[in-house]
Amino acid sequence: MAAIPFRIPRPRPGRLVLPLLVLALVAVSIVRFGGYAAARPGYAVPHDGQLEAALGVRFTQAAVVGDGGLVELRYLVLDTQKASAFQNDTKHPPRLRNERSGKLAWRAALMKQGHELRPGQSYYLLYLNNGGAVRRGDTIEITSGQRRLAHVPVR
Amino acid sequence: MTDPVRQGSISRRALLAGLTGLGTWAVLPESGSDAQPRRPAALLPRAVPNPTASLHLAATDGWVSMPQGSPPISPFWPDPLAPAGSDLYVFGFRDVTGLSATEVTGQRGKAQITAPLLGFDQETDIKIKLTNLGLSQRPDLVDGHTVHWHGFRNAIPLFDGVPELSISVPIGREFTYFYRPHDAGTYMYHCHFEDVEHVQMGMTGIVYVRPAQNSGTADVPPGRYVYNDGDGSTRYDREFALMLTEVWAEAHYRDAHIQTTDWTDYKPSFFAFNGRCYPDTLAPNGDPLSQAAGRLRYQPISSLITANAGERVLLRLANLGYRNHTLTVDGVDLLVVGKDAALLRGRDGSAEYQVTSTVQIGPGESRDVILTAPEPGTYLLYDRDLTSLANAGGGRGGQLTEIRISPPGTLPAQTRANA
Amino acid sequence: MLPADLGRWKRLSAVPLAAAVVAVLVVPGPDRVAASPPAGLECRTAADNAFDLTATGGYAAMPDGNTIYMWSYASGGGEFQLPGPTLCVTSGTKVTVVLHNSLPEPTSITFPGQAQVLADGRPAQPETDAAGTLTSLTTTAAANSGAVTYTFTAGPPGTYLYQSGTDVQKQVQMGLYGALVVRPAGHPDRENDRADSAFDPDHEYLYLLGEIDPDLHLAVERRRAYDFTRYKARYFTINGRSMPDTIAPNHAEWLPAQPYGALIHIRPYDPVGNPKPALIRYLNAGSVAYPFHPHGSDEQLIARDGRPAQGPAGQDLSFSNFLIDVSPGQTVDTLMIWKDAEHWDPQGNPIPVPLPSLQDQIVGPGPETWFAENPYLGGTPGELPPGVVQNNQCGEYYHVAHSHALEQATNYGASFGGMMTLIRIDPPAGCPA
Repeated sequence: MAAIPFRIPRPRPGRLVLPLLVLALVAVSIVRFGGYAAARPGYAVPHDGQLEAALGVRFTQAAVVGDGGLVELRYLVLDTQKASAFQNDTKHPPRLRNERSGKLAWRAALMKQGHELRPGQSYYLLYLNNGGAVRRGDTIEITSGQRRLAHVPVR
Repeated sequence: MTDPVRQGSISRRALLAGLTGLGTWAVLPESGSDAQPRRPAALLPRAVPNPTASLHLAATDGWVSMPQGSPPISPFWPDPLAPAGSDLYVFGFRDVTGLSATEVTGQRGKAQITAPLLGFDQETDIKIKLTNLGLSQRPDLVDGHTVHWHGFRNAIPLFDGVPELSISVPIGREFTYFYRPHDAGTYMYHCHFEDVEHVQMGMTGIVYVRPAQNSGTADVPPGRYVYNDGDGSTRYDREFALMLTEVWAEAHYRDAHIQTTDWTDYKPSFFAFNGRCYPDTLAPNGDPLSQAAGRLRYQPISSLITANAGERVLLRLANLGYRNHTLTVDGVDLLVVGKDAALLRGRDGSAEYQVTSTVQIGPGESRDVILTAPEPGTYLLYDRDLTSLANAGGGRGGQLTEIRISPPGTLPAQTRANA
Repeated sequence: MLPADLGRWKRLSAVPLAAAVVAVLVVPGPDRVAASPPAGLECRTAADNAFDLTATGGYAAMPDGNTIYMWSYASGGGEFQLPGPTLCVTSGTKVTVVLHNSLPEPTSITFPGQAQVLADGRPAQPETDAAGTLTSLTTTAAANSGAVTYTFTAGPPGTYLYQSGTDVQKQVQMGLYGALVVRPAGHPDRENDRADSAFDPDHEYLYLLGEIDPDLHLAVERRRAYDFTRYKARYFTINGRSMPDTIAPNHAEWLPAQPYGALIHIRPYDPVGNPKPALIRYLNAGSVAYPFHPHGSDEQLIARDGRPAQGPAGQDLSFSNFLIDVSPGQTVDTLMIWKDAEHWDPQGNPIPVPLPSLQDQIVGPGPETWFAENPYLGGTPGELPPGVVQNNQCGEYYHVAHSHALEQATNYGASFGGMMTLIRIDPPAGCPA
């Protein structure tokens, strides 16, 4: 098999102009016309395999809702039995601590959504956002029993 | 506008406020049916402080009976786990007022459907204690229970019974709800804990409020009225409450057999008045503490309507099924005077009463309907949705009952609703 | 591509690219609402009442994690949104709606309640195929890139649906619907021409009710046949969202195609400080009645289908409801307030029943609950569990409002979801941000 010859390119600043222009066009188009969908970067909640294995759920969103009065914590069910126990565990509620200010959102509603939670489906908890403890753009730490999940972005 | 007030003269001032426009729309201007606004009705002084009423409800599960001989819905109905004489698993409330603690605990597993019929006077300070006795058939469940007074105006969350927004009562605990109703009419109450399940399972009842006008005003003599109408147009002689519900036998079976239900598959199999399907609707009132009612022991509320010819009969209609229903009485005009515990009058007093032969009631709605008892005889009151006139899809049954009219003077005065 | 060609292309394209960047920056964007309130009805208005709608496909997110392919409308050059934009016009003005069709089949818009609608200047008409079979309730825009211009004079003030008039069983269920708000001339703070329909313009809300059978949407997305006798709605929506997304703000970033929230946010009625009611506009774009039950307050039904509840001599025929049963295709407008009826006050007028101690409440998770420690509106926190930092809170109330066909108040059967939202009541002095 013959080696395919290739050139080692010399640095040529001009080569960058075109891609940069294309990028710029894409960028300004997104900003100008993209609306809410494309203008925001991706949102991701950190994963913790141990926490997920223990609770049977994966937290997928923390969001300020209710005109700032409530915090919604959404989770995906990985394990039906553990998740149902998590949902019914009135002794060890998850608590939300604002990593910026240290304030807590702790008054949650049970939000019982069935006797048995379906794997792969998302459910939610709502918290009273005491005195604006959590604001959009903050990061929070979710504590459930001995388990902690840090740096969860709030949107 | 009178501001409702605290302390000292609460009751009196709250009373006056309630009748002069406290609930801007809840209490409608006094006026006649000629659509002309009138001066506000003068009220007689009432007791100060407010009268009080106390009630103790227990929430639990139990077993009831649908009409015998209905086509089986295998394997869901009759439920093979049901004790002798019953065939359907339910949740429900019981009135345990005055029972000892031991007796109350003894009612675990003995729920009734539909829930006890409750009536209060306007401006009464009402305390309803709810005890959660747990579920005898499902010890694995830790369901709480609540009382949601459906339609209570200007409720505060603590007494509204939505567990997600206030509290619910855990097994073995109790909580006392407080209500001071300012608005007469027909309401409902039900458990709001996982409501799609607990309501379907039978935790539904009617609660109504008698108007302050019943003690008489300058315009109307003391008597029985549906509302503070100011002109006596809602006067009645006898009253009968009908709670419309549906029973999805499959979901009841799944609850008893530790299975889960997809509620969007909802497909009711029985259609009930006061927790009973025709012909059980005609059986007399029972008492859950007495075995006399036999298989209907835990469905104690009769739907048989009786009156003397010429009397005005009030039907308090409420629907806590998940479907619309349309009731009719063959050959008798129906006068609809109220919807959702509000007199049918515009804010300027314009009459909105309706004379009709059918009354459509959506889920969660109520109607107050007056009929004048016709010639002696038997008249049928039933659901015009004829698929609701079957038991498990077969035979004649469902939401149907009889109105039996006697010659004038035959029946003594009615002492309580549905009797 | 040869290197020589590439270089030439680069030289040729750099200039227009740079020009394009500049152009994109200076070209006016799609028409937008002046201000986007975090909660409440968001009006789309346009100069000369001329609107541009594109029927197109997109995706809606359900709270249980499902994503549903929908058809609905994009406004101007904007993004797909469900429901279509809320068009606000004034009664008696000429309205123009240009419908562009990017769907793979013909579509159209009907404006129920509007008289003498013209399509491309001629009366909008039902369409039939060569065999005389009805194919559309009104004039269509052709598949893929067709367009049609509807014009009409905005009718009586009130609330109206606009929705597809073509293959309606499928297309409306797919999401081709939106709200048309017609305001009375000279009185934007009234629902209709009657003085007793006045409301607080800062508290105007949209409840556009609908439902979704995900099987149908999957079939349309994959261009497969669908048997309508198997139709079974699993999701029930307000403004295209299900609880808890209904309480998320307007334009929540995680709901890019569902911009309209359904949270109601009010303060207690006060004859001096807060005398005007909120206005709620209910519309049913679904196939069954939705019996809607607001907790904590009744609502006064003042209009249906763009007609005030009044008698021939102008009598007020509005009435009070704790349940608003909205039929398919119908609109209902209600006024609502919440009053602090008892003025409970921990000092002078305490709640006359014992509050359960913390261990006697189920609700949490945990021994805490939102209200049991303090049931007073605007109150400060009561007893707190050990170790909990006390924050100031404003003590607002929350009530639910939901369909009482309770299977509709679920997310595919999971309770406390679906056609449900919250009513938030702040203390009289408001709630500090």
